[in-house]
Amino acid sequence: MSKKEQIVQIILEEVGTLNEHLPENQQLELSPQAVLFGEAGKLDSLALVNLIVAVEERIEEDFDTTISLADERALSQTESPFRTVSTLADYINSL
Amino acid sequence: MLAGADDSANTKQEMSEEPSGTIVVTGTSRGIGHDIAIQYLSSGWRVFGCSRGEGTIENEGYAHESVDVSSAEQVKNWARSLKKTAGQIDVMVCNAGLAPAASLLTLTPPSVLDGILQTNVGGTFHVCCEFGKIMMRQRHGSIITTSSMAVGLHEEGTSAYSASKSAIVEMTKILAKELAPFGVNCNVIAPSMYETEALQALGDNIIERAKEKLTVKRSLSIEEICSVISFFGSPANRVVTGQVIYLGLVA
Repeated sequence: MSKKEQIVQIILEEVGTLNEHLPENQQLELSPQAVLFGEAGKLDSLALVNLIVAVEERIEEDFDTTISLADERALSQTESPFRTVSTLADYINSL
Repeated sequence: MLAGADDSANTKQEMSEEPSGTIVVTGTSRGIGHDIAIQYLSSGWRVFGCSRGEGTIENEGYAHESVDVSSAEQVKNWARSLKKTAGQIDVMVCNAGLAPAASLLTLTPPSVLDGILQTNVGGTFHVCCEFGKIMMRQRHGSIITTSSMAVGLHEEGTSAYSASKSAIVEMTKILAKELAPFGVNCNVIAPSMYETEALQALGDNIIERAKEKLTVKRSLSIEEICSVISFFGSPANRVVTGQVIYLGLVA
């Protein structure tokens, strides 16, 4: 499994955990194409922060490295890294 | 019961009956932060503290880290380290702050304002950011920020300091709304007179004038301060959020 695939797996696991706390109509599909935030996204800003914090923690545990997803670099990207599971995984992989 | 000079003894007894847990306090090398840490240690809590310099508390239940809260990076590293070693964090007290000597606004150098805002506002912001994230994940916890009687008194010579402490109140109310869905409450404690070096730095004239304007015209005890922290921090009071409690002052 490539690093990118591992990251996608982590994000999907955390999306699954997040889904347990969301109403049924806000739950996300467990797919790399799942839209997280923005147009057609189901997560509000609080749910997105919750997911970001969870993913940061898992990346730290699994890869033994500390990352900050909500920093200036992420916010300055032309394409938001928080758009889909896949774009988030690409962004994490690039750090 | 009406508040009186002898009430602090009753408060101390109540404090000792609190169930123990884990509390994080910033600015523990001296002043209120130091005394809060000592008080909770004496009640059996584990205390994690920080200050810019070395720690001054020797106790097996206490762990200290040198952290400048105005540095987002240092706060982040400390919080992430604590997350691994502390387990569940029950209460976070954002106490670290600067109280400069009194200076009329028209005579205050920009560097003084910058320093106060970086430490009092920036420091509280960084600590709330990192520990707020931890408590979101825990779905448990209480964040308590520290304002001041200065906000309610509008005393001449405290413009920069009072502005920073007002900002903390607003920041905390917004954070309270953001963290409420995660079962985390956020409140502000605004002590009046407590004998610290920071208080003395405001100058005798300001202290005397302020004392006259207080509703309870005496210094606070650490038991009275910790009683409010325990109230905010109690899981039974999670519904109390976004509130400011002034001690000794009707603001």
